[in-house]
Amino acid sequence: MALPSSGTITLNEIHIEAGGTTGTLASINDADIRALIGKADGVEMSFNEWYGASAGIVVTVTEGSDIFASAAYYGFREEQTPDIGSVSPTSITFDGKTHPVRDAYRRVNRSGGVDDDSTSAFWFILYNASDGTVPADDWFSSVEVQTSGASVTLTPAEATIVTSGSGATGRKEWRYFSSDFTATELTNFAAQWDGSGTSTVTFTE
Amino acid sequence: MTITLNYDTPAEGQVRLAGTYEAGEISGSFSCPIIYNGLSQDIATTESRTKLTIQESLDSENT
Repeated sequence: MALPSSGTITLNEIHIEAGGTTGTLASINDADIRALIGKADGVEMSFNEWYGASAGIVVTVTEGSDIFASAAYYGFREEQTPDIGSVSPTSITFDGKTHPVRDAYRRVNRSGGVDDDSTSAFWFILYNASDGTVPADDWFSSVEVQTSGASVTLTPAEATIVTSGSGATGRKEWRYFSSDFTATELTNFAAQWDGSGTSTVTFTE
Repeated sequence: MTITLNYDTPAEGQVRLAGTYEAGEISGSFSCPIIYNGLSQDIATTESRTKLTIQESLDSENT
């Protein structure tokens, strides 16, 4: 939850937003607290600069692999039975509604038993809320995808977005093409999203 | 499977295309960036990428 946009703001509130524990020692020059507003070490800061600051919504994907003749998927796929991989949290809340995470994965074309990593695409899929509310296309301003190098920041404007179904089982999908990544990013994306370990996806509202 | 996109002709300078799709018994909506070649809209490529996304979504459970 983002910090208030006006009024009183305390260091404890800022610390909690940064992932700290309430009532524990903190200073505004701590790296995690500065990171909320993108400040460098030791620079001058004012408390009102934290108005509206948010640590973002972090989704941690414990990766699995789902491999077929013509495509492979690395990450989390709730659509399969049993699930491929897992995700934490299993649902995310924004705009007052909670949406279960259906999928978060790298999809790659595959031929002759070999992945073509140059075709890597990133997919993120949410179910509608329990009352059928469909998430807005642009409920997030950016999404940061962890790679083995620098993370890749993508925006809703770059996404191809598809909705299907209705009610609580309806879903919305954000798909990013390989052309949304640089060659280096594609290499690092494939190295990170390889079906093992964990990877994070961080949404900034 | 034939995928049909339904949308209004985009205006000059428009950056995204939005509409509905039909794929057999499945239907839904889409929104995607319009691909430009210089100043010209490349609607064929825009449609192709959108249809590929829908196709891959529909196929994703078994291919």
